[in-house]
Amino acid sequence: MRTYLKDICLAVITVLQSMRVTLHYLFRPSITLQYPDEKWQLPERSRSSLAVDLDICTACKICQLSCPVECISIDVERDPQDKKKRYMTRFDIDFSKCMLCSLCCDPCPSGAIHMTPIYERVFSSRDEMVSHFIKEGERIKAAAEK
Amino acid sequence: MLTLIKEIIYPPVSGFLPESLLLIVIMFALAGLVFAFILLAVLFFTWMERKVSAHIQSRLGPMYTGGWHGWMQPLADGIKLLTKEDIVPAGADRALFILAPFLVLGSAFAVYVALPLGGRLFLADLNIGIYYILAISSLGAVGIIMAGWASNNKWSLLGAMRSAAQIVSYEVPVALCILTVVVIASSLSLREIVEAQAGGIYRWFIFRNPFTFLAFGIYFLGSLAEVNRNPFDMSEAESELVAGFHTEYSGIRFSLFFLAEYANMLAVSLIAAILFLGGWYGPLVDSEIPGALVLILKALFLVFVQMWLRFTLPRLRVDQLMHVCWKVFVPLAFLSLIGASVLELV
Repeated sequence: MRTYLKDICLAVITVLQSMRVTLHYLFRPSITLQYPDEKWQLPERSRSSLAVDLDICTACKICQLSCPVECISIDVERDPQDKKKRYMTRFDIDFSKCMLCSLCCDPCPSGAIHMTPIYERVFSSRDEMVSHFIKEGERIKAAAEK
Repeated sequence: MLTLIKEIIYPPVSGFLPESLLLIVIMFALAGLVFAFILLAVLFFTWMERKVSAHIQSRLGPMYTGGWHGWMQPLADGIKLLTKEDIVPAGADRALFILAPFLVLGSAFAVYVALPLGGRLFLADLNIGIYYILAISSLGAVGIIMAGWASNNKWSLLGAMRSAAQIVSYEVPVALCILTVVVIASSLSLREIVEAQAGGIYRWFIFRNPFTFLAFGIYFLGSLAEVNRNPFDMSEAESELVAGFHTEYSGIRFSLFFLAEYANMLAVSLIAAILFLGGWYGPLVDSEIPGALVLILKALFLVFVQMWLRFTLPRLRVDQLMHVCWKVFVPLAFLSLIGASVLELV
């Protein structure tokens, strides 16, 4: 009889306690954000997508060498007259391979290849997933090394 | 209802139609009015339930439909349900399958006929009002068994059997708690029960003595079980029985079950407010607030508590459910009945 009454009291008390907890949650601001209208503030070092600043790129190809999945391909041509002038004819990053490890960004001497906070990327074919930073037939002069 | 028709509605419209036809027209109009009231309440409650559940779980719930906090979400859901294909499973007992949701909704609907919303706002002031409500609300169990049987589906049948066992069991403590009130008010008429609680908050039956307070608690929890709400929703039990008795139902037929469930929620809350919380009398002796509003606010609060409980407690096991009913609620309900009766005598 004593345990019977004790159980009933315990049940009532614990139910009231749990109701207090849920009531507390009811009046707390919710965590959900209305996604397309509101967006999370990304962390400073977040890794979402790669981009290259071709104006400062020295075409040293360190990024290509350091990429563990070989998703970066760079073609460099030398000027036949002036051997010191170099031109990039291709700078492709294959995002179907890229795993956003940031191992290309860390060794880059000029900081040309870097992570951007763009995380909303949609592709409809595999070819589209390869980003051509230099258009076909175009030549971009590599920056001088410091 | 007959007095209402004869005194208020009938005189201005008499003469347009033959008397017998006119009475039928008025009755249908009033039934439509009650149905519209239920429908509006159910639309609001589905929205409210989604909002309450969302905020308890740190979510937002519907936010886009209709602009302000997704207030048109229930309408959109309703339109979706109405436009869905009407499916009757090949192995089902067709006639019973089609009839079952109407029976469940009918019993929920018939309860409202005897529910007074105010001292002068009622359809039928039956002198055995609460008795009628107890009887007619049990009809829903028959509909649920019909649905479970006719579906020809093991989940449905199991859910229906559980639900019927649950409703029949919980009828006992609930009826005993209602009897406690009836003993004090010495009337079965809902209007007279409320009139007996007039004159301030301390006159409400819930605060009359400790036994009536106990009776209110048991009535509220028992009514949760009667309308198959968490933590007593054994008949649906998503994780075990898919959806219980309405597994095979979709579209409009499912929405009828849904409508009945929410209508029952409001009905038991209104009954609890009428029996224990002073009905249409506010906490103060002479307040200017309309009685119907006071009663609906009280019922709304109880519905909120039902939702609050739903998102607080996990579901009970079947044996725990029966344990709570027969070994805890029934003895305590008897205690409250006898205690309250003795206190009334001395």
